[in-house]
Amino acid sequence: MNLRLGTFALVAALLALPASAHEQAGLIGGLTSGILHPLTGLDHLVAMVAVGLWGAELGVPALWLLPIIFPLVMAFGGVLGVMGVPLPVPEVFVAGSGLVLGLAVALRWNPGLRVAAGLVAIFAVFHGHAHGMELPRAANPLGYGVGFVSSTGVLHLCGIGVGMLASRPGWQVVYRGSGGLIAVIGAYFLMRALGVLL
Amino acid sequence: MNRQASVTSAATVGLLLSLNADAHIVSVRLGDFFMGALHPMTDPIDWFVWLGLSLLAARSGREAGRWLVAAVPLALAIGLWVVMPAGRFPPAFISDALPLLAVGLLLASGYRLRTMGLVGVVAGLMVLRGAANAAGLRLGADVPLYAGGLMGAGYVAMTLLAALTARGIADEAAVAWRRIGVRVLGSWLAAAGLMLFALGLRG
Repeated sequence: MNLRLGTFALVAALLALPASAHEQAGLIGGLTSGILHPLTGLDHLVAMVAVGLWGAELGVPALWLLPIIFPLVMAFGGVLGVMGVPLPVPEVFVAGSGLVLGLAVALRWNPGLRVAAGLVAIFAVFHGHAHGMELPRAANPLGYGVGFVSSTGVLHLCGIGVGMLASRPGWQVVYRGSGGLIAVIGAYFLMRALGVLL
Repeated sequence: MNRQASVTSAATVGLLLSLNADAHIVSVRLGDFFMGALHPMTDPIDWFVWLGLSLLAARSGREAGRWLVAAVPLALAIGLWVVMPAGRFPPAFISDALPLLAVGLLLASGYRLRTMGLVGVVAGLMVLRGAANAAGLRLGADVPLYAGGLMGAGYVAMTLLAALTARGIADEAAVAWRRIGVRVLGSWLAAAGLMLFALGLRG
């Protein structure tokens, strides 16, 4: 037994390669960084999920149109952020998006496709702008872009998944409760952005 | 003759007939062909663009799909030959981001160009990708062989992916959801292309 372990350890030691612990390296590093970026900010995360939830409530075509609009417009906002184009009070809009979209879900607000798409697009610009401003310089551009967009898309899908269950008995509470929780989180971040809370 | 004698005889004949090993494909003059065929596989931009194009070809109907399958490899070769004499390659954020953005937008919008318009747009984008793939040519490489490999890879990838996609979205029972999936994927590709463009501009 000891001989086997010793042999295994010797082979492992001989085959060892230099450690590459910095996640920002190369395509995979950029991908990892891009995937994690929307997931690490709670204010962004809840808004992305809320878009999916709201889309499910509004039904077809909003169900699939909102998740198409959001990444595209968000990428446009990201371009503005990367280029350093300033937007007015971006933190307020980002936090406000959680509050507004959360309330829209909780109250089952249906303003029609155009208003919903316009509202989502405005919020998406500010979310993209914030991500663009915070973008790590060393990130691999393609990996970061793909990871960032696909991660956002998966968050929308999570919202859509919960939203589509809302028609089942008992799930309406979960759906509206999710909207309420998102609105509370959005309100917290909005108060922080306005300086009401530290 | 027993079994051992047969094996020994075969081994002896094999040894007597053996030639020098020639394992390196470069030395048999086909290395540049394989280099051209494999170079797009080393660049994720080509993976995504070709995937997007095959979705576009499959969604655009049989006639447009056939034109695209022919136009893509030809445009790749043209792009390669256009930049070779000058030795000046387009900036990466143009040759990488623009095809991704354009293909993604065409897929996401669901807008149907006329066949020749679609072929023209796709050919233009593939000229850019051909130029980008020219960067993989080493000094003294056989350009026609490299171009042949690149065209072959483009043709095979387009044909296989487009055929698979066409089969996937032609199923009437699930067509609505699959077509929505294609549009969503298109929006993701376009968004990634837009980000890439901005990051490339920033340098």
